[in-house]
Amino acid sequence: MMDQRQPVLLRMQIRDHLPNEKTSVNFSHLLSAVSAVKSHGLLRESVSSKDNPKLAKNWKDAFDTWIDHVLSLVSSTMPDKQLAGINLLGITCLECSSDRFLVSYSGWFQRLYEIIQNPDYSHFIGVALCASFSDLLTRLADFPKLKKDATSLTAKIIQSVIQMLDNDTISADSLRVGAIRLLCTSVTFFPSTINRYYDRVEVSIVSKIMSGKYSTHVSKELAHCLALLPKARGGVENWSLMMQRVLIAINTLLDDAFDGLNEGNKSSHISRFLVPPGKVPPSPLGGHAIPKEESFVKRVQDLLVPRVFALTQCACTMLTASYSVQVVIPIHPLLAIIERVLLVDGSLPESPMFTTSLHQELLCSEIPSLQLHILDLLIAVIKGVRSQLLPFAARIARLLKEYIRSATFPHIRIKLYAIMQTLVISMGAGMVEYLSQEIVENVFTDLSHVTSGLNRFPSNNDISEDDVGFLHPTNHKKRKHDDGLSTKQQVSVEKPPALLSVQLAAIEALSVILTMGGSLINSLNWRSSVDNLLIIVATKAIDGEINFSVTDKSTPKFADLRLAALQALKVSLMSPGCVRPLYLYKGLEVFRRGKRETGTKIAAVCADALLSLEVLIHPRALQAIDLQLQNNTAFVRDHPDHVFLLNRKSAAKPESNICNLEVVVKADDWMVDGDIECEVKDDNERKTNHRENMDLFSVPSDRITFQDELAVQNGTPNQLQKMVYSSDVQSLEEEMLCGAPLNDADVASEHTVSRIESIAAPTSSTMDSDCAGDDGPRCSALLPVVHEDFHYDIDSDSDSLGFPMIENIESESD
Amino acid sequence: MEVVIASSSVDFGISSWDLQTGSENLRYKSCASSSHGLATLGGEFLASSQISDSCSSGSILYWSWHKPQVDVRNFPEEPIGPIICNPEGFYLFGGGSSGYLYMWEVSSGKLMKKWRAHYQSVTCLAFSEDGSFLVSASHDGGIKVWCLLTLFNDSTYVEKKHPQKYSFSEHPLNITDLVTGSGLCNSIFISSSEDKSCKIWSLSRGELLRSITFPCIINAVVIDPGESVFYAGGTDGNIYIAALNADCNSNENYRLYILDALSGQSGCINCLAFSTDGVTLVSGLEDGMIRAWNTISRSVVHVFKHSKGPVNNVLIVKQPPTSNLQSQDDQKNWQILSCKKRLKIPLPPSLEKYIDYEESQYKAIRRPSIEDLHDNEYYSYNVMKNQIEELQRQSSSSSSAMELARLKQELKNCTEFCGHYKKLYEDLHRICIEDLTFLKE
Repeated sequence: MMDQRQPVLLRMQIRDHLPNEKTSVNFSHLLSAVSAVKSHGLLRESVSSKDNPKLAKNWKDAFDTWIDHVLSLVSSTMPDKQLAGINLLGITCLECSSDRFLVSYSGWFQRLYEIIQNPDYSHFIGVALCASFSDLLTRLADFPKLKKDATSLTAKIIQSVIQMLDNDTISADSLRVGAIRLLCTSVTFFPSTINRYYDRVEVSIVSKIMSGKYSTHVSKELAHCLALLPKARGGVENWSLMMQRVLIAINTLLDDAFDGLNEGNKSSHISRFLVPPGKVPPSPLGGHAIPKEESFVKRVQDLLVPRVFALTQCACTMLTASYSVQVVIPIHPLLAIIERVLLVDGSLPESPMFTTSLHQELLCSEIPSLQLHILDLLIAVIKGVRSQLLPFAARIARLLKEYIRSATFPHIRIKLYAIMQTLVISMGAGMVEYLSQEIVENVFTDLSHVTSGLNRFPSNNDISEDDVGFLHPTNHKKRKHDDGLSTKQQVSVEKPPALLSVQLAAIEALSVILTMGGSLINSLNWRSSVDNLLIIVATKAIDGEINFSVTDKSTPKFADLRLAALQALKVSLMSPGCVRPLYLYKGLEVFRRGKRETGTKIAAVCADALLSLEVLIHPRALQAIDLQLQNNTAFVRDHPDHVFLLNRKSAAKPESNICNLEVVVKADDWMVDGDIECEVKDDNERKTNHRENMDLFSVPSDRITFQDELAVQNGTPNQLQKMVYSSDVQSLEEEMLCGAPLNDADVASEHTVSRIESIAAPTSSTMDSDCAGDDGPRCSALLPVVHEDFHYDIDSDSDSLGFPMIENIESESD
Repeated sequence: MEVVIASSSVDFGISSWDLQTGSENLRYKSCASSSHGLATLGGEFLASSQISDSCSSGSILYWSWHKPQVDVRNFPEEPIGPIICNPEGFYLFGGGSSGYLYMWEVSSGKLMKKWRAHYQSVTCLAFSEDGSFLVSASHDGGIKVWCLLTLFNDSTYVEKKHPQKYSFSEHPLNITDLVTGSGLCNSIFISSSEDKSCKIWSLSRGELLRSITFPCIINAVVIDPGESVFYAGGTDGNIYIAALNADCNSNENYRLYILDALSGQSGCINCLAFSTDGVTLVSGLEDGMIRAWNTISRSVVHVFKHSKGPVNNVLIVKQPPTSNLQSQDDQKNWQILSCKKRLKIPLPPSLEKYIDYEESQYKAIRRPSIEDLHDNEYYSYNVMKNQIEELQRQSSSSSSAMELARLKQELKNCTEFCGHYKKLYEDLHRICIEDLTFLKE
């Protein structure tokens, strides 16, 4: 019975919700009819007459009733009914079945065509007509076999559409947008139809763009249509020609505006790129040169920005939208124009004329919005050329570095951060080396109020008192950041905090450079301060203590900032570095607290972060193959994804060369043992030891093994060697067993606290003990804190065979 | 569809097999490739550098997927050994026999950079996962890591006498293979050498992490996609399994870190490739055979015969789907594929011998894509919703114009009705009067 109901529902909609001869249009009824049709698929006739002939017949009849009703509405003399009919026909075009569409489309087209021929339809009807035509043509494009027929139909309406576009008596934007969209649909699917009217369309669009009197929305649509126009003629040369003419138009506008400014010979330089010497320049965009009749003031004040905006939007679409053939992007002129706009400083030559200084003031107020639009072009270039940016990437990086120093406007800064992120993701670690310093410095400036206690780059061995205070929580649960920091915050009120959206962009940029290049050796000079910044920001975000300028009306909310801060913290903890994450426990605490905010996105992000960090706590070696159970291959074959836990006994064979990795994997195995906790309680004097052991467990396993092995290979007189060759398995196992449960934060909470303290203590060498564990003496040279007096006690006869070094360090620092 | 392609140092062409079914596909003609000299140009074309007798000129050939004949012949300045293309297929890198590295732009064929990388011939090339570092290895055992961005940043290029990021000389002898692992910039790479060792390096830190000595010379290395182990193909016919992240309590039969071996192959192993399914390992042998192993069951799944000559390159690549268009009846798919067919990527021009290309001439191309086909935009519903909203709010001038037009039409209708009734009334009136007068009479 359930599957019989569509025809019934459809009839019900027709009866109750569509206007008939007697009733007038009830628009809310109409809308509910449409949403019912869409959500239940009432027009799809998705049943074949073979499977269920009765239903198919019934449905067909219901559809016939529907379409008859809709068509009668279309030819109604009442404008509101006609409007409803046209709209419903458009929706029918995309909701009906393919068979139905193929049978009826020409009839429907004819009905709409009759209306468009009579030009005194009202504005609303015009908009609805454009939308319905556009949908009909889009649906037609799904049937390549009908292309010829569709092209001839489209050709019929193009002229009316152009008239609609050119009709200056229309005041509303929506009809113009509708007409432009219909043109775009035609040129996308049936390009040859526009070919005959190509010049007329181009002139019409360009004159509208140059008049600068349309809203941003309309200009965008106009620019989009202009960008699609080359498709009408097709071929590589038309695309290049349009691109060349658009760039020439932009450059001419800039020439006019920057006239008299001190910018060297950039203009002629760009012209040479655009029109190589000896070549004939193409006809200007729109058929004739840009009208210059307005005064300079008007040109710069009212027209420059909208014109440049529309033209750059056009170039952006051309760069990023697909085109039917492979095209060559003129990347040099593009970059030259971008550089010209971004580096203009508004300064005048030595002896300026009187008028130019007036112009200069006018221009300077327009430059930021000009630059904002040009940055869009830069983004489009980066998107369009993808990895072919390689030869230009260093140049763009230099440009951005130079520009960001002078960029103070929030929107520009946001965009710059976004561009840098895109660049870093697309060009990889190499780009991080170029941009990281600049990004980090700027982020520190933008987040300066959050980090008021921090130096911009705390030099490595002078972590300031405030930070230490911050890192010394008196109690893990009831942490308050009142010691040291709050007073600093009060001091730094003079400078208002950056806009929320700028802070958001800054945090995101930081997280991207950590993602792509956190482990680079060159990142060491900023890594620790960035990690420190991110834990502070995330902690404050979760506490709601971040200040931002209240004047900000932009879309991002404080919740977005919190999300970004938490995500960045996760990246900071996950991103591989030389040292293990210093703020792991604090980070975990932040995420645990965030997870309690049930029902929010914060909780979801925190849960996700806790899952990601779990790998740091229980490192696992993904074993695709079980080498111990070779004979048991049948099982392996059946469960290829199974990760085998290692057999404890066999892993600890005395004659084998035990490396730490085994221990790590074993530790993972032992976590599940229920009897571990009591062992710890029994064995108090080993606690210090265990804590350190577990720290090593948290280090990603590959580092341990590689480094240790390296030490062995190099013949370094190292404890590890001793550990490896003289290991007494029994005692090792005991050690491990005792050490294991401390991994669990609840059991280990008091150790954890003291651990954090010891990390934070500025003079304590334990901070480096982690890295010493995985890297031996060489690592300390790479690290922020270098301990001159730090050495390994080779002869120390420690019975903690697993990690003898750590204990030595401990005893030394004591 | 994943296909195995293989070539040999003797001219037996490039053979290809479907990895799933084991059936042989097209055999591309006339190819005697140098070791590591087989690559795909962004998956669209096959390219192979050729062994040449004369030391003065080399050649690199291109094939289309669907045609056995050579499509493009390139003649670089000197014989090129290893070639590698960046993942998107825009740049082709080649290592010369004199130690120079060459970088060509595939779309224009222009030689963009040529620089001295090593003092002896370049033997292997590899990219880091994020594509920003190139690793090159040489016959003299030297390994260098290049930051590609730096090559184009002239100021730093001039400042630094050695533009490479790292240079390693721990291997005393010829490097036979080079592979990089995953992990963005934090990846490892493994080198194998004729000194019977494989060394594992950290790319981000530029350090040697582990060195493993094998019982024989290792000719080829491949990393298991999960990076728990790597496979090393030796001259003794064994494929040794060595530990990366895996548990490494070695078998007593083997040395430190060597876990096991896939044995039973007769000849020396020249090259290895790993499928993205994470299970299948393909080895190319000296005797011209290619074996596909299931690394879990340790059994041979397929044996392919390439030729009598030694196989020196095997690759597992995804063949673009354009080759089997016939069986598509689904309409949308058909459309996409037909578009794809139409948007065929043009044959790249041949590579140039010398740099005659200034920085100001660098170009970028944008290939046609089929992304936009998937999101046809329909407007009716949104337009209708907006219009209804506007009409219900009755705020704008056009909505009042609409209302006005409606009222006018209603007035017209009413007037018509009115006229109609008036006429009726008049008729009735007339009839009544006629009746009355008739009665009177």
